[in-house]
Amino acid sequence: MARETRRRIVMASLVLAAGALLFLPASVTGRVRVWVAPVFAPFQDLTEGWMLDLAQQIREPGRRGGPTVEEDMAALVARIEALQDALAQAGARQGEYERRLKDLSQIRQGLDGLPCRLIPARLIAPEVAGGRAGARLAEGTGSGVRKGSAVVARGIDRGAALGLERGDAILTAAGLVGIVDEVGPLTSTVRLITDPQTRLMAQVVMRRDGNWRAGPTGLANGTEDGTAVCLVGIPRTADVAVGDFIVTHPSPESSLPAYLIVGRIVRCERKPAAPFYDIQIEPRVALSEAFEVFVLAPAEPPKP
Amino acid sequence: MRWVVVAILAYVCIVIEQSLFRPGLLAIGIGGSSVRPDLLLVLGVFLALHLESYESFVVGWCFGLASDLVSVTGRLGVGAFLFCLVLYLIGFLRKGVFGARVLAQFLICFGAVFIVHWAWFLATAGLNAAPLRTWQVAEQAALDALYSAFLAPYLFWLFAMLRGPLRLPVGAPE
Repeated sequence: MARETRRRIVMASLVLAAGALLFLPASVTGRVRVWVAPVFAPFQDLTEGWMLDLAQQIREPGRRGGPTVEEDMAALVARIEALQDALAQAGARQGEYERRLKDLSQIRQGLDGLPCRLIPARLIAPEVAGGRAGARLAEGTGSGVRKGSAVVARGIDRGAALGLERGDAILTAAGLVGIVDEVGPLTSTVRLITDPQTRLMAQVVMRRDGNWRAGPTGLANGTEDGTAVCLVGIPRTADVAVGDFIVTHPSPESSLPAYLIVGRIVRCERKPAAPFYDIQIEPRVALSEAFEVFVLAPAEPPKP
Repeated sequence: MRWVVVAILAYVCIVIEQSLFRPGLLAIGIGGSSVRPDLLLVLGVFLALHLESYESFVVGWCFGLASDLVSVTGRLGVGAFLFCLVLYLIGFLRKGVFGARVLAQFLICFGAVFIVHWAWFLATAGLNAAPLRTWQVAEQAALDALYSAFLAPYLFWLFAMLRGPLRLPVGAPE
């Protein structure tokens, strides 16, 4: 009777022990298995070799043994070269990501907490005007295109699918590039700030005697030839000089956020009998070279 | 019964299972999974047909724990629980089983391996909150059981030759 009781106690203990083992953390279980693996599989390396030989025999029935040392070396060299190529690509990609991150941080800082989305985008070949780009245009002399004409509009590889809207600002870390003019499903057209049709409220910001201060406001629009921006409506009595900065100015008609850098004044003349300055601005962004840009879109994309 | 001999025999079974029944060697690849026999469980079934249910229970627990230790995934204790349960049942019912017949050995081993493997797969998936895929694991367990069952008569014959060193009780099925 006592023997039977002892047996029952042992069996119950074993069941409890199995149950307790179930609650061991996975890390402990894994460590235990690593410890005991060499004990239970002492010939694993040997049979692994057989396994590889067997696989080799299946692939190349007439051949004895594994690959030669030269073949191994050649395979290794090829693999090293492939890995080096992959590393170079990854390095280049990392550099691009770091640069874009820096640009994004700079733009975000300039926007001063404005709720918006910055969508990375790329300008694509000009389609509507130009002579600077190598792309073939759909327009010709019949539309007034002449040799040396400036590009005033560009395509962009983002569209309504990402929530772009007409009037969204296109910018880089250096400043404003243009405004979204037409939105397609996957691509859009950007009107550059040098386009004569572009109109935006702008403000002069100047540094006098070591102090920054805001100056008069006016209307910035592209010049007739599409190569620069002019600022009109600045009274001739205002304190404006070459080198002063031009930033966007908030207005009810424009969806552009305030204080985006537009450019710097390169010409500032007072013509006789004219009540306003004749001011020309050089955009801060080299528009002909701009490629990677950001779209400043509303914080929430519109629901379909 | 000599426990030391049983332990050595179990160790040999595990080593053979781990070394030879591997993908590319004696494991059979079917549908992307490798089918392997459970030599340890076959040994356990052989012993359970000769031992009392209590001894079968203890043997099952030890074999199950060893099986847990050599498996790659799953928690420790699942195999111990399942092995001891199945071997206890076989030990309990052994008097009604004609263990000397090849067909009986085939069927018992098939049933034991199928139940243990299927339950082990399901329990492991359940404990890890993974999808159960009941029929898929049933198929895998059935293939493992079939492989084990085909080998069972030969293994039983080999184990029967060691009845002397094992000191199995007299009167047990040959």
